[in-house]
Amino acid sequence: MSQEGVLQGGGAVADDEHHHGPDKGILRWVYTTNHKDIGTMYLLLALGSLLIGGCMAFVIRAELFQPGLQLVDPNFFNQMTTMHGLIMVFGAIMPAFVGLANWLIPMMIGAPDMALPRINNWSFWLLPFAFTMLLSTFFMDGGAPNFGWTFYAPLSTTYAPPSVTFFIFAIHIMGISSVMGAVNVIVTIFNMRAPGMTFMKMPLFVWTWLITAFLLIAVMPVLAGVVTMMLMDIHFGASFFDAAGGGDPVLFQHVFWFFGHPEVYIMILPAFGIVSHIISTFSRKPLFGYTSMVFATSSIAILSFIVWAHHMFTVGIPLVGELFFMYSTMLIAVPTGVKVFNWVTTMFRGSMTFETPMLFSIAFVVLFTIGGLSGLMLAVAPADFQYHDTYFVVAHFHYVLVPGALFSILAAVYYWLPKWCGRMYNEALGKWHFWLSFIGVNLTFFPMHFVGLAGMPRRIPDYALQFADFNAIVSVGAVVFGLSQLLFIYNVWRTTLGQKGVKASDLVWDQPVGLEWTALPSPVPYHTFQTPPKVD
Amino acid sequence: MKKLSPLKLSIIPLLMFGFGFALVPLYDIFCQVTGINGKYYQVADEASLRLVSAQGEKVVPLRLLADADSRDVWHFTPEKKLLEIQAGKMITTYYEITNDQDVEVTVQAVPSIAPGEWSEYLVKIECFCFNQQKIPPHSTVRLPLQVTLSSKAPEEVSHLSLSYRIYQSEPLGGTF
Repeated sequence: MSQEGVLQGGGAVADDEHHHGPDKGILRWVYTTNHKDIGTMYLLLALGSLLIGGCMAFVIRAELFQPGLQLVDPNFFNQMTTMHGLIMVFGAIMPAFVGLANWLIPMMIGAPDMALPRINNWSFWLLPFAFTMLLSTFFMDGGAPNFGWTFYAPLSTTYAPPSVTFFIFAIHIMGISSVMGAVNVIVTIFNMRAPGMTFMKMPLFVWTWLITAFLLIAVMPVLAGVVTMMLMDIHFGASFFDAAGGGDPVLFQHVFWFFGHPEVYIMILPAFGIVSHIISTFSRKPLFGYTSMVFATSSIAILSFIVWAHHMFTVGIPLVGELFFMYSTMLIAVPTGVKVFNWVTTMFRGSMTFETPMLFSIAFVVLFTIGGLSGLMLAVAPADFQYHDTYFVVAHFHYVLVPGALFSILAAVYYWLPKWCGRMYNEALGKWHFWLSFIGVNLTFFPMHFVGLAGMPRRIPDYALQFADFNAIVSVGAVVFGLSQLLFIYNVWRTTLGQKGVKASDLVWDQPVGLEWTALPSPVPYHTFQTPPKVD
Repeated sequence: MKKLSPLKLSIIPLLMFGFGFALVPLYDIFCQVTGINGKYYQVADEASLRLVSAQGEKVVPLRLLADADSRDVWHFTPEKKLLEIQAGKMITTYYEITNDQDVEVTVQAVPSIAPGEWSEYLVKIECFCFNQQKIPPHSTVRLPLQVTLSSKAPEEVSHLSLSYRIYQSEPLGGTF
């Protein structure tokens, strides 16, 4: 072993020349420890997952276009809803934010790279294997997981298809990847800020990601714990969730949502950071209430640990529990309201222009607020007994995840792409993409509120006739929304690989704030900030 | 500037992994301490026996229920559906379980007491739910239950329900 170490050390001395460009060929992507390369790979993985998960959504909406069973059998429908949720949450939204973190955090804090570049490479390369394993369950006996993305026991233990074991290991691998990624982000932000960049001078995207990373290291291990308990129940005769052996199926829901609720903030806090940057730039005003943004984000993160049972109002928790979780959940509306107020106030009397990233960000503020308000309705425990497990819940979380998290990711790509690749995307195509997405997303998810309130349950392949018209509208909206994402892919492709579009200036936009704009050229070189900038 | 060590930071996820498992007893402890959830683990110990030996006057109706499930391969019913319990007076009653199959089944009964906030006042001296029960093929077994009302039960305790759900203890077989 020591011999090898000496040899490697010797090699490093002989090869002391600075690399100014990436290696050539496919192995560049396998070996790379460059935060920009890894960020790109994360974003591409997220895009791939978005397309796969989107195809599953198409299957779901095709089946629900009219009542009755037309295209798929109920078990396959359940596999579709389950895998759609898992792929979108763990494969699309989370990796997309990690990709943006990789690209942006070092450039925003004036660091040359992430603190742990090799861990970074490993965190990424675990994911393709995890998702290959997860998707391979479609070809196994008994089919893919069919118990819903929340995998409640005993559906996911006693009554699960045999492929559940592969699902468990896929979750383990994703969890390890997320935790390593989060540790990397925290260490980078703590140790590698440029001289003069104090915590309260950090850009908000960095702040929100720091808080997100703490949430990740706190709750991803709990998710790993709960799937490990499932594994023990299934294969080793334990009975964590089996009443016959002294366990309790409700325990599963408690432990799962102890992870699950912070998880939903993991998927939205970085979005808050992104839109704060974009709204400030295109309003040509500094962000209103920077400090209150930081504290609001932290409060949301802390509150997320004490609200989990609002997902379980109907399992029979005692009245005092219902009240506690109802009030603590409603409390989250306060810091969230502070944020929305700050965004609106930033725009107020600003010199606003409406480029594509700004359009997506304004839509984010409006539509995320709608999702937040339906969340407040769901927080009312006595009313939740009516809404629970209906399409109203589906409408709620899609409003916060699609025009919430996903729109912020699209906005971020449009906003920073000219800095990354040195060319402007096509603005007309961008606007088409925005308006089709905006119309499609509302057409898809708004009528779900109505059918949900009228009592249509979620996760069913067939439904009562009175829901037929709204479901047909929803399916049409889904096709509009889904296909309009192809415009985005084409736009990004022609700007990056296609080398089309006007060259971007170093600042790209009017007076943007942040080191990535003011201290670096467009496109950003492969290595940046090898000597740290001075921040005053 | 003092640097944050990634190894030290990794202690948090490791501890949280342990915390996930610690939640299993923590939830039970929480339910026991607060007495909420109707999941009350009172087994007659000396202290509670002494408490119930004080003669009480109050009579409370106790409803006995058996929760059925479409997957059940047995018949399970209480012999009496309604009893009157009184502090200091033991009542013995039986549930009946019939196994029509050709094989022996091992079952475990899981009790639930409603209303949950009064569950601590129903004291089980002897219950078939304390152990697994083996039901031979083609036979009916009477399962004993001995209960009383705690002398600590306040005036407002007006009614109690005790229901049982029967689970098969061995894996259903064949799947894994």
